[in-house]
Amino acid sequence: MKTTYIRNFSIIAHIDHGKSTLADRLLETTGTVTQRDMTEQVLDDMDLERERGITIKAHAVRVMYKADDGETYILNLIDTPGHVDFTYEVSRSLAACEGVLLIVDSTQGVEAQTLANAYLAIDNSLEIIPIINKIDLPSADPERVRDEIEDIIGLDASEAVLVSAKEGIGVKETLEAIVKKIPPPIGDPDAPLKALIFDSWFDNYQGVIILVRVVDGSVRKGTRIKLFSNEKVFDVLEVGYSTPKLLKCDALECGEVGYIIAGIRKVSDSKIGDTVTNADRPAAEPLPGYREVKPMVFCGLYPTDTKQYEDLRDALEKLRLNDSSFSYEPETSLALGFGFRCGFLGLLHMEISQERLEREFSLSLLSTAPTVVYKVTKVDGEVIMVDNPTKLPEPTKIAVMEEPFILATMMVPNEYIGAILSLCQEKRGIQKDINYLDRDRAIVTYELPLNEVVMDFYDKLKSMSRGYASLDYEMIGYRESNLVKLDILLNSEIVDALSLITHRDKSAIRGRELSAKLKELIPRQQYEVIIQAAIGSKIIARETVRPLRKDVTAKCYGGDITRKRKLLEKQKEGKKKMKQLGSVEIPQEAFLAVLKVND
Amino acid sequence: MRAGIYVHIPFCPGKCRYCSFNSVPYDDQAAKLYVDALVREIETCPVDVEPSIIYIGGGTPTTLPADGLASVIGAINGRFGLWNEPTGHKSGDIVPPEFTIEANPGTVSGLDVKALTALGVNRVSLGAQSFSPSELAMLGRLHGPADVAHAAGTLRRGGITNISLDLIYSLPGQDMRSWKESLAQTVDLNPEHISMYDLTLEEGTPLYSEVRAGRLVMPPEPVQVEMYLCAVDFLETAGYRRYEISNFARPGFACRHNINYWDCGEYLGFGAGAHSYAGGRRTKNIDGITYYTAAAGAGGPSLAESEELSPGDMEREFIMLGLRKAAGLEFAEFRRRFGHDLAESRREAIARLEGAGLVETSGGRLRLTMSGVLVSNAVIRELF
Repeated sequence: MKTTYIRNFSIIAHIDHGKSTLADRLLETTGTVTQRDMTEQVLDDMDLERERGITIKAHAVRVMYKADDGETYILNLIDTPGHVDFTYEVSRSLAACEGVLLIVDSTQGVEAQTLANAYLAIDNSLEIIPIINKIDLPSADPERVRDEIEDIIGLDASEAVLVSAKEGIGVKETLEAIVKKIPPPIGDPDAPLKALIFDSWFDNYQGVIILVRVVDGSVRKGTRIKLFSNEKVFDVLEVGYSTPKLLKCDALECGEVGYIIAGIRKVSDSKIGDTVTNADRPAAEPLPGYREVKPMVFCGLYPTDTKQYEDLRDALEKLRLNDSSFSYEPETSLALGFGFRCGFLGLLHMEISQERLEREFSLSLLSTAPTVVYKVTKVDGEVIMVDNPTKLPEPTKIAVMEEPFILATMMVPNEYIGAILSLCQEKRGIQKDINYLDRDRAIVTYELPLNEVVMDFYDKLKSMSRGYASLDYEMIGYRESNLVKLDILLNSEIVDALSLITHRDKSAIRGRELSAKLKELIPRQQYEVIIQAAIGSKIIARETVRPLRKDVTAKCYGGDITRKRKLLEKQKEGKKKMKQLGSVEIPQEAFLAVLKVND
Repeated sequence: MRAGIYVHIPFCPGKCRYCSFNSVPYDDQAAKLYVDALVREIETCPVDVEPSIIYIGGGTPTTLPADGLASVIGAINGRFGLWNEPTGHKSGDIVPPEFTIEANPGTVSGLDVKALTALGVNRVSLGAQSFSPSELAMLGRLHGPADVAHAAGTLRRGGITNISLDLIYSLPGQDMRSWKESLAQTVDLNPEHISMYDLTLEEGTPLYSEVRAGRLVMPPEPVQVEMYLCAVDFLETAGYRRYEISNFARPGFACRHNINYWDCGEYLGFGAGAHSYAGGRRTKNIDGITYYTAAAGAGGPSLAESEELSPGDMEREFIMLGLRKAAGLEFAEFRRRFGHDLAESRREAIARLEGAGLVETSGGRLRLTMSGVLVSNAVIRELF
């Protein structure tokens, strides 16, 4: 088939604006998926994705569509993760397309991620079709949203498609717009193979399956392919496309989207953004835009039951098979025993990965507070990256400490601007811009240290604005900062799993808050528990959990017996979940206390 | 099979401000229906037991007219032959079979004590609670301090030779002085038995709301502990032996009915919300007198709860209840019941608790020390 009849597109939107629902409707309307097979949100095939209503992995589906002009088109829908943690993946998925559907919720309007995703599309020179969704809702205001798309993003929205994906309104119009407005792919069928990897996963039977967009040339069974980033060569065993069931085909031609199976054993060999070429007739240059994705946020993961250590290691290995952006290495904590230091792209990625480990592998995990990676230049000139506060060298050995900064873009209703500005100020932010969009909203831009953001920034932003403020961010590099390690001592013993790195100016208040929170979380026990926060040898806060002097049931007669027994049994169960540190029992929540300060 | 018998009478002359029980004001018609239902439940009881002890609790059972009570006792006699059977006490034990009824000090003056003793009642438990007028008012009790002495006198003159008084401490506004005063006045009345409980705030009661709202303030925990320890000292000096966490008695007057609970003995409960334990099963009758009455009318009481105890449940109950007794639990008895050795299966925990001075083992028994009593829930959890 000639590329004239191919359309490669993606759907981008702020979270909850209806991306997956519209994708489902497109598949349904084109008959790709029958009504009977239709579970809500076909493309989100992980349980977790469906439950949370978010997309974590990219997907690609080929749809045949007979348009009003009488021709049948191949539409390749590339669904992308929507969250800031996966910005790089989104940008690579977009690089595989010629156009995007930009969905905006007609009851909410343009949000921070709408803007960020639209800019990504513009950067990739894509055709953008604005879709105004949820027009069936009583609070829908399509005209206001149309104006916002023009004023805020600067796109012509006069031909925006009005849609209710839920009710199936405007789906046909959307398909026509895709065919008419998005240009067909252009590429050189005779040039050496260049295909962009935009996703890959591990299959137990077939090994790694990679999703590619063929830019130049073609690939078929038997082609010897080479991956640009690592120079590794593989023989192609099978090519095909997803409907979303995988269907074999003879070849993937220039302009097409599909999968390649080539006996690749490790997902980490098939990196997103990498270029596939023909080993026997290689292209001179890879496609632009590839970079190594590095974990930004780290935490310690420990099995609650030490007997599960081996199981945890196996589970991490399996998780890594499918997710090369996640890393892990063994670590030991005096407090928690044997576990792993795990790296993630961001907080959502961390949360999702933990949930998958617990759910898919039946593990019970204890997690330490998240931390970022600090760059430490030692007095002897050596530069080390520190992803665990306990690994920070002695203060006397540190020449310079640097921490990662982000550029945060927040879309904020005007009435909450004051609160958001003081939140950013409190989080050591540097204001870059406030841009009043209209009477209702402004875009606030701040440079913020990532370590403040991983704590509780997003939750606070949401609660301060009653959920209306939205956030997007990008990394802008490392900056020198006056940082110190804050230790927590229980009955004079440092609990390494509670140590954290913080800015010196904030260390005193953080120490006090953390001690106070721990006092709330640690139950009274037989002996007094003294909680201290310290920087080096200097104690900066102290709290005492008074010993329990009285824990006795006064009345226990015929009618009380069963109830009292069950109560004691339940308490006993709760106690089992505590970590015993010396004579002190600590509930698991305590290790995340730093996230809960000010709750 | 020997078993205790408990009869629940849910009627009360008024509602105390700390009471969360679903009690109702006395009403002639409701009481008549209730007695009929009770009689039916007793007569149709499928379990054959040899009742050794009987306890009528409430509510305030003495709100029931003597003839109502007589019908219930008649039914028990008819069904189980209460007074025709050996009482189950050890040979040489001269204590008569125990037959307790609970009473409110404020309503004893109108009571026909002779009629009660004629029915076999030989022990009365009086809810004195406190001897401070302000504390009694705060609790919403209908009686004053003087009523307790009057009631005790009335009961003694009527031939009741075994009287128990209940006291409550840790009351909002209570201090050591007023607590000691209540203890002294209690001992002055020379009861055979004394129970004392710390105030339990039950959700949904007026007292609970007032403490939550900060209008009433309970004494701080160290004072509560001191109140308990001071009471133990005071009562033991006065000749009362502490035989359970909250119960004290003159020699020979420990409450057999309650000891049966702590010995994991069997009991049958009759009436709305009454609990039974027989054949390894704990059950609870349906709550609420109208439901109970209706259910009995329809052919028998319906159960609100029923639970077959696993061997593990029974072990844990044996530990939990056995440690309540000052004498503690008997290792040999545990082995006889469960076929293994407690000292063996909980060796580490017992050693740890002994090391911490919370339990002691001697004479083939495991018991709480006084420090252990104060944190007994923690000790029991360790042994679960």
